[in-house]
Amino acid sequence: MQNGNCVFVMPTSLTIYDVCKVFNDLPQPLPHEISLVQTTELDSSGVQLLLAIYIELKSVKKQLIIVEINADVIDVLELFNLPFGLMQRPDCDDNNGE
Amino acid sequence: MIGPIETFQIEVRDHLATLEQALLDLENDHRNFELINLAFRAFHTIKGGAGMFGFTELTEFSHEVESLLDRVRNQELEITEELIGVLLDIGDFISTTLDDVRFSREQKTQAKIFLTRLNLLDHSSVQIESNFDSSVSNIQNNGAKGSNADKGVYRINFAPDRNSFRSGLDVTPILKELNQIGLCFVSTHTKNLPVFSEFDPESTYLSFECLLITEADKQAIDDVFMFVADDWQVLIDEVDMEDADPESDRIGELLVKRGLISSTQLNTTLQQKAPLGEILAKHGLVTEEEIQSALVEQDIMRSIKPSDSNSDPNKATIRVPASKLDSLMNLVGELVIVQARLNQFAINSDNEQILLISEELDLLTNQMRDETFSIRLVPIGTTFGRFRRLVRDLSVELGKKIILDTEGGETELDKMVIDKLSDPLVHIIRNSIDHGIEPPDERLNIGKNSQGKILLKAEHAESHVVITIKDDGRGLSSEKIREKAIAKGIISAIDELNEEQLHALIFEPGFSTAEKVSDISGRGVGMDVVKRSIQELGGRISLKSNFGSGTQLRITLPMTLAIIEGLLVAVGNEHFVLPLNSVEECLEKPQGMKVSTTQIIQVRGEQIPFISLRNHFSVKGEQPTIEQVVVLHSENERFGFCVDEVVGQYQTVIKRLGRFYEGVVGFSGATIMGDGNVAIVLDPQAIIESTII
Repeated sequence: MQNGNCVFVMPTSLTIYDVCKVFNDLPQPLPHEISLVQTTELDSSGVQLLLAIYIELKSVKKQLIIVEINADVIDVLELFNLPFGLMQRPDCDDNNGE
Repeated sequence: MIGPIETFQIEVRDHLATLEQALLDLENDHRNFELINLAFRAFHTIKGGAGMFGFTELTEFSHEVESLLDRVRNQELEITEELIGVLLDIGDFISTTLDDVRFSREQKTQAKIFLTRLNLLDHSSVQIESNFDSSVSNIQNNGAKGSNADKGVYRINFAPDRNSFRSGLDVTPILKELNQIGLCFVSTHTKNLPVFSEFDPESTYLSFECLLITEADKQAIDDVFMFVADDWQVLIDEVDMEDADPESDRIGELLVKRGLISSTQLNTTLQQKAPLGEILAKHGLVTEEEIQSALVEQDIMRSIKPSDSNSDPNKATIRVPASKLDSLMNLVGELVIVQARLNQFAINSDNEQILLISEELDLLTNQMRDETFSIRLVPIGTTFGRFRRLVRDLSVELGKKIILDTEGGETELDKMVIDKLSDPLVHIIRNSIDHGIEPPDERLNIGKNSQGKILLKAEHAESHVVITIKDDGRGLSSEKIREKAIAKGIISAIDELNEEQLHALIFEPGFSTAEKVSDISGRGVGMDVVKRSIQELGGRISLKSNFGSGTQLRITLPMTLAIIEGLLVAVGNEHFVLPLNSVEECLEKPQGMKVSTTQIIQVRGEQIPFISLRNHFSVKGEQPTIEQVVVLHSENERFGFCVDEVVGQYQTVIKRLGRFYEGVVGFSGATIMGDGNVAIVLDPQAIIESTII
């Protein structure tokens, strides 16, 4: 899914069962803003996919920014200490339950 | 042995003292980059240490303050008196949290208030409070990690098998588990990721490097990888935090240790004059992630490893509880006493070999005594730092401008003396600020600089240390003191006292010249307590004041309370020790003098009063035909003690007399002589003061 601001919204589940489909569905050129607002399940294969996108974008001097993170996966993202910017929009606060 | 937590607390207190010094100096020198750096480093080290022990609230709080100081370092934020005030308060706050580093609800609120205060000073850094809030919630979630401990640091490298994801193995639970057993810093490495076109989302390319600070042993970490150990490459190494090599935490060395580059590659790269990481990444020898990961390790190691100065075994220091030193001193004291007995026995035995052994042992015992004594000596400057803060805070409170100058901070005194000296000095300085130094307007009106000055000076004088506290305030009004003393019934209206005697009345119990009682300098019960405290330390206090131009207090203290260089004298069967530094000479008492409480002896034309210790202490026994008078001095006074015999010079360890004799005037302690008998150590000044001569 892609909205008018070129933000690619990841599906509810980004696990080993979904990564192939998501990978194949990724638009070209790759989006440099990805939303995880709907993603409630994320595993290390999902993280690896995000990192692969990040590295690919970096090779063309673009930066990946994760916008709108669902509270259910924020802990996983923090766990991996990822290099790309995690940017939460204010309207996501409620979702994060903080 | 001091535990790691205690060491952390002691070190944080040291850093807070450094911070306070730096901040107080910054007040007069806003642009001093070194001082800003010093303050920054203090917070940085506190943060690192707190992180090591899992004191996450303190870590996060220090981090926020450190970030602000970083902005000051980068000249993005200006140092102001307000900012210094908040930072000083933060230092005080951290100090209060040390006994129980897990923040209480109140402390969390307090921390937020401080961060808000900092926010208000730095309008652009809106993130500060929110970051701390989130960290607080993280802390609550990670509460199980514990904060006590003998923690180890482990470097864990693992690379899942390429088919791990396909086999349904996920790395997330592993990382979660590591986070549960300690504080885990994860670096996710992507160097095996292929180009995007060749990327297979179901294959596993990632590898991981974790630095784990944990109380758990290696077995517990092995257990985390129990189900994947056969298929994954897992390497767990304990990081040697005791490594004394100062080079060992350099980035290059860390990369070599991790097997990422060889020593040859490192040396070749180091020959190029450019940042190491940059060259290695450029040549594809290491990835940025690997460098970042090594930097994390470097940061952790530097924050928990002893400082460079400690890395040199010759300069290494250890901390031991003061009670252990007291105990050691006590044992050495006993040894000295036994040595004295041995000496006496050896002399009486006429056995040359025993005499020789006794002399050699005596030499070693004396060296040991001196070394032990020197361990207890600490520079008085550590106490001076406290007073700068006191002067700053009180002068702000009273609307006065006062500067504190200190001299001789390196002068060493017995730690016990310094500890006990602190309260009397606080009282004297408070008095100077409250009653001595005039408000700026008043000072300008009488032609003085609007800024008052207090000098705190320490210096060695013979075997004593002299501390001078001098202010350029209004001085003591003899007239006022006289009026007050009469009103309080301390003197009568017909008493004729010179200025010095009048000034000395301020040391009388209950005396106060303050028109109104203030919170700053108390209720007029202070100066007599100050005098008594100094006397208890075996010291003396004197005062000089010129009305209108200032007051000077002079405190003379022995360097230690533990050892005395004395003159042993005998009266009847009793022995007494007189402090040698007060002794001037010994004379034969002219025969035929009348027996009375006090008498006068002529010494080279000068009349010196003396008292008979036999009479003073009611010593029984036959009086010898020839008696000796020991002439002593105190300040400018000379007086004598009449004794039966002067035995000789005697250096010994003083034993406290205990509670039972606490109120007895004239005794400063006791010692056990070579023959096992007790000799009382006298306080000549106190005996003279208690005797009308």
